[in-house]
Amino acid sequence: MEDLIQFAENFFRNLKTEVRREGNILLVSKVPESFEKFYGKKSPYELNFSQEPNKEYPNSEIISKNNFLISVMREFLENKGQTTLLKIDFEEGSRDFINKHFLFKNAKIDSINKLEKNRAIIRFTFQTTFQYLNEREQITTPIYASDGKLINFRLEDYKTSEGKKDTLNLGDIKKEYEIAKEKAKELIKPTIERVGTMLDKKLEKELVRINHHFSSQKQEFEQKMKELENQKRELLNIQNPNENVKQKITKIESLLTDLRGSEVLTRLNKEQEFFLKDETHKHSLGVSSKLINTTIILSSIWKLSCFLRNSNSTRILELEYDPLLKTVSKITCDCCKKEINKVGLCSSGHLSCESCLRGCSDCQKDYCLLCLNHSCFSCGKKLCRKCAKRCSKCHKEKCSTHISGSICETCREKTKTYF
Amino acid sequence: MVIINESFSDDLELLEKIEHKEFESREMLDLKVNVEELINDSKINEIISYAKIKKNIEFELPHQKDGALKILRDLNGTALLADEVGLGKTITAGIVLKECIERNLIKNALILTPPSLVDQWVAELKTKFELDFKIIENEEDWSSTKFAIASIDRVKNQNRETKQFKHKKAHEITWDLLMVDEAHKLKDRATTRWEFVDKIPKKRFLILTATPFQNDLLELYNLLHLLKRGHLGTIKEFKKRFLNRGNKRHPLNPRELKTKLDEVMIRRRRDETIVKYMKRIPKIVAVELTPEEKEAYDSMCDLLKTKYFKANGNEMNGRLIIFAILPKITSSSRSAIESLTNIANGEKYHGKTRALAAKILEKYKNLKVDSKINKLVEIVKEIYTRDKDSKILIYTRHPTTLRYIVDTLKPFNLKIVEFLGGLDREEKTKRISEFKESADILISTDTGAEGLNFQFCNNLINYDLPWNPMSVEQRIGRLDRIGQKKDMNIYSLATKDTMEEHVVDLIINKMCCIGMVIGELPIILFNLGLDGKSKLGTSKIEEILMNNFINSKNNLNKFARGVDKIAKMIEEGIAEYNDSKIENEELLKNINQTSKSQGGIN
Repeated sequence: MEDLIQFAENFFRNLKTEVRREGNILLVSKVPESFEKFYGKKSPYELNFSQEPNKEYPNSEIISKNNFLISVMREFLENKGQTTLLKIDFEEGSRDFINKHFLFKNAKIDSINKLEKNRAIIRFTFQTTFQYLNEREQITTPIYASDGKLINFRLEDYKTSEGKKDTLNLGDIKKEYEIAKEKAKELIKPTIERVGTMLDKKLEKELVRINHHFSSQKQEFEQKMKELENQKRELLNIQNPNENVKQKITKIESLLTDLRGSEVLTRLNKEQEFFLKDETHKHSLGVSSKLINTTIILSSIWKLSCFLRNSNSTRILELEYDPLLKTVSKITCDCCKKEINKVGLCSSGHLSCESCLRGCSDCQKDYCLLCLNHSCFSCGKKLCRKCAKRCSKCHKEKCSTHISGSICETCREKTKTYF
Repeated sequence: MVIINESFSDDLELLEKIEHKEFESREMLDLKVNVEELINDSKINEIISYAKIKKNIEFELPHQKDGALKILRDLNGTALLADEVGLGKTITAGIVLKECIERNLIKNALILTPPSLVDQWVAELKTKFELDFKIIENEEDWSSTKFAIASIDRVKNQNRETKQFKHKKAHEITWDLLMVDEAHKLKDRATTRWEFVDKIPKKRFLILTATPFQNDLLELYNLLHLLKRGHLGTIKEFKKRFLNRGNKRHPLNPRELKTKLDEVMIRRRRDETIVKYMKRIPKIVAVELTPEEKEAYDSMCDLLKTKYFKANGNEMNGRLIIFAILPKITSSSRSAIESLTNIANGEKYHGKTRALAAKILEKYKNLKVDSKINKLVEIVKEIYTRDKDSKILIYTRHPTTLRYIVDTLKPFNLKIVEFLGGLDREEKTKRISEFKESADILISTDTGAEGLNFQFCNNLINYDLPWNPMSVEQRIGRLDRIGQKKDMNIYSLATKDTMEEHVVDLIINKMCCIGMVIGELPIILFNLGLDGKSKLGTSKIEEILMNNFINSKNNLNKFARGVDKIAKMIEEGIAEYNDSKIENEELLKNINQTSKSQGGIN
């Protein structure tokens, strides 16, 4: 009962009527004319869902699931709700997700600029009715597709809201429809098999009745023929038959000719075929499927511009975040081009993996191997571009230990010896 | 192997909506799915269409709904519905039909009825079940009609040369539901009627009759042979197992036969239901004519029996003239004057005829007293003296008489409603409710109140009487309906020493008011072969009476002897029918209880 009252309440609320619930009574007023005409009754309506007369509302109409009003509501909804546009409401969590997904070795995300685009998932809801004898089963099958492929998805797992038409950029969905339809056909097969087997058993019983009846009729006919033949034979065996016997023989012969000519067996076979066919038709299974709804589900994909910063450098990190699939685009190391999980920011702004990120021996700042491509000629230490000093004499790069001023220590020693 | 018809609807229209970005709120979809889940019954455990039907029927009779449920749930839509007369088999069958449509079980249906019931079925299906059925008139109609109704007598006709059914197209369609009303007409397997029905491919089959057999149990076999081949075995097996050679109505193994019948049949007696019928009390009121009136009346009868009815020397069909004029002339003095004036002034009539008519017309005009209308006033007064709140329904065959009655009763300060043919539905509804709520008397012609219900009134006056018993039955049927709470007084005016006196006695005392209920008289007339129409379009009884009138040449005794013969024939028919009713009852009693008791044992 609660299901029914809930449904009725939602129905009338959806029609923008005034609805008031008092226990099991629903008071409905200001119903749109379109529904009043459809129902054939002017509002207000006093609806009683308790199945017992109500003392406070003695004129209230008792409503059960088979009540006229409910079937009118069903008819009213028949061609409604065929197409729906929904949007999945994701909680904004790109920063957290990125921070969880990646480790940032020497930098952090300072701010994120977002640009939203949508992916469309299409839900085709098929309703299949299995009709046999006087029974009817109905199943509803939702099938999801996206980008021309079927996908595993459950809309119920997400919070959704009405989508906006202007954000929808949808191409032809016939391909998705066709593959969904094929899938629907596949999904109803087990039910067809189950019902078919049950019907087969019932049909078999009826066919036995018909076949038995006609075989008895044929046997009776043949028996009659046999009896007549026997009678005739017996009469023919009489020696010196009198006129009476002769007359009897003629009569039997004529009867036999009539029976043979009447094509009784042919008629019986035809009839038998007709009734077998009739019974088979009676036990046929009608399976009719139709698309009752297509829902376009919009799911956001965010283009993120993340400002990565550390004390020496900043870098805009372009990422694509898909909250539905819980994926984010890959980050690759600017040096080795490999995918990275622990992100380092080189002081020159390069993204670097852990193994490609080193400290400059002199300034100790983090640099990737692309930037740390200088070394001291004397001691071999890796240096950043800023720390590698070139000797004006020997033109070799030296670290701060091995150069002071513009001449490296080696050249300085040589000059001393010369003088 | 089971046939599987798999179909997928063409959904392109819906996809186009998407293309055009036409979307609806998701609540609509939720509601739609919700309601389907709520009311999705895979098995028929309830009549879901009854809510719709209920508002259109005046009385809710549980046995009708229960019967329909049993037919669909337990008997898979194939059954012999053999409820006693007057329990509303048509309504039960209508519920089955409506339920099948509501549940989408059927895409087409065919109803076969006797010719006289075709229009009634169409009207009932429309008003009570909101279903539109098309009447099959021609062979071409079959291909364009999904929900068809046909007169079985029309469609069973065969081509004389080829021996093929003219309406063989009916045999090329598999009908999801076939219903045959008044199926006692299918008791003979050797008839084309039986053969026609047998050849119809059908998924569900409902046969309606109150008397599955009349004289012989073989009639019952023939019906069930049609309904479910082999259910009672071959005819030889049936005869051996059930037929008592000494008494064709008594089965040999009644218990076994009952069990077999129980599997395919529904039968309820009136006393098992809440239906109560009230008595029809016949009150023949003799009208004694004054000598002047008698003279005028006799002259008029003389006029009808003469051969003066010739137009410009060409002989006219005297029978046709009599059939057309006699009822008008005998209805009332005013309608007699009107008819005689028409004859006297009618150029198509021979001069001598016109002169004679003019002479009789003068006699009518000079009459000082109208004994018949005075008698009517007496009856009305008597009814109101007995009960001042009474309502009276007065019937006449002619609008002229109707006006005459209205004019006569006006001075008595009674509120009178007139009811003639040609009123639109709105006006009819208005006048019915006027009669029900505030008026005292409703005066109607036969065509005016056809099919209407006046069970709140229990006095009927036949000012004149149709010579067709079924028309009289129709009149009484307006009052004699479910919901009538009192016994009904059926007054009929009969002019003494005229043929009317004999006809009224025959139709009222020997046919319509003998304790039978609505629906029984047509069965008796059918059994006697008197249910059809004559070549002139009148009923067969009417034709016999008219011929009797012509042949008697105004000899009342001769006419009376003819009427007696009919009465005797009817009496025998009634006796035969009552006997068969007892036999049917004997065999079919407890028919729907055997399975219950067996269920208990098992």
